[in-house]
Amino acid sequence: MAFNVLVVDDSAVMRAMIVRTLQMTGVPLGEIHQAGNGQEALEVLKDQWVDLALVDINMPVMNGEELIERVRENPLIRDLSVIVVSTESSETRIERILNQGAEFVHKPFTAESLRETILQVTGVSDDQRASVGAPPGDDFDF
Amino acid sequence: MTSELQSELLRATTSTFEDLAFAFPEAEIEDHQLEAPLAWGARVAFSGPVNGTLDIQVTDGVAAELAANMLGMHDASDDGMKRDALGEIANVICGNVVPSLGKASDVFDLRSPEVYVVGTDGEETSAGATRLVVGIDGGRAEITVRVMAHVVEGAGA
Repeated sequence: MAFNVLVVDDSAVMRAMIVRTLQMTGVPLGEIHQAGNGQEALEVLKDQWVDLALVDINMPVMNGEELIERVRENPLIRDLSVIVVSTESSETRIERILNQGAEFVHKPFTAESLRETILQVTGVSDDQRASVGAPPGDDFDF
Repeated sequence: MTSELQSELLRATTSTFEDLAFAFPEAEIEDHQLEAPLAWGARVAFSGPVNGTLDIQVTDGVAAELAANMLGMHDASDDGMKRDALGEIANVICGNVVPSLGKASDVFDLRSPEVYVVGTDGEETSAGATRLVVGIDGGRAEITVRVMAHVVEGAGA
């Protein structure tokens, strides 16, 4: 099983770094799509099958929280697995994100922590984890 | 609060440079690092219980090194790459520093980073600002946090 992933961040550098880190997690990846804000992400989700979205919070046009809200309102994509990748530290806002059915990864992050969160949010069981490739030993931080 | 902010700024700067860009800042700065002209700056404005800005200014070589390391390239002399990388560095440092200005439950909003060429953005006073200077290879980075106003709950209309 390979995951189709959507990376949503207004920084092209950060999107590139997230893609690099994803490739280091050992998680099988299918297509990787990118979007610069929530609005662009919704456009991608209209046309592409996506299993997992990695979403920044602070973005112009449409921020991450609004994107998740719009996803949860849409019956066609409401079950999308979402991980918020952000510098956010406010307990209030993190709780709001968790209440929207998303998981949270704090920047900067490691390939290992991203892998664990992906497996958790996509519902991969411990038994299934054995069949998901192990991450490389090189534990780069991002 | 100033000493707490200073130590938080050092912690956030060090971890962001190391984890995000594989660059290792040093508190001891040599003459040639101090003499190198600052070339690029990025500013992130934040608002919440406390409003203010975080600025980072770096030498051209440091900007290129950050971009190259973040993108996994040997050479990142393109100005667009430098701007994007420095903006993201500023964003992450700011996001990790501002919680120390409030309570854990406080919500801060960060504006998108504005990247500029040093010397074209006007001079701002550093009075009352918290500043950190670190050396990185042949250059340096200067990070400044300015707190503009304390927003008092219940004040105003």
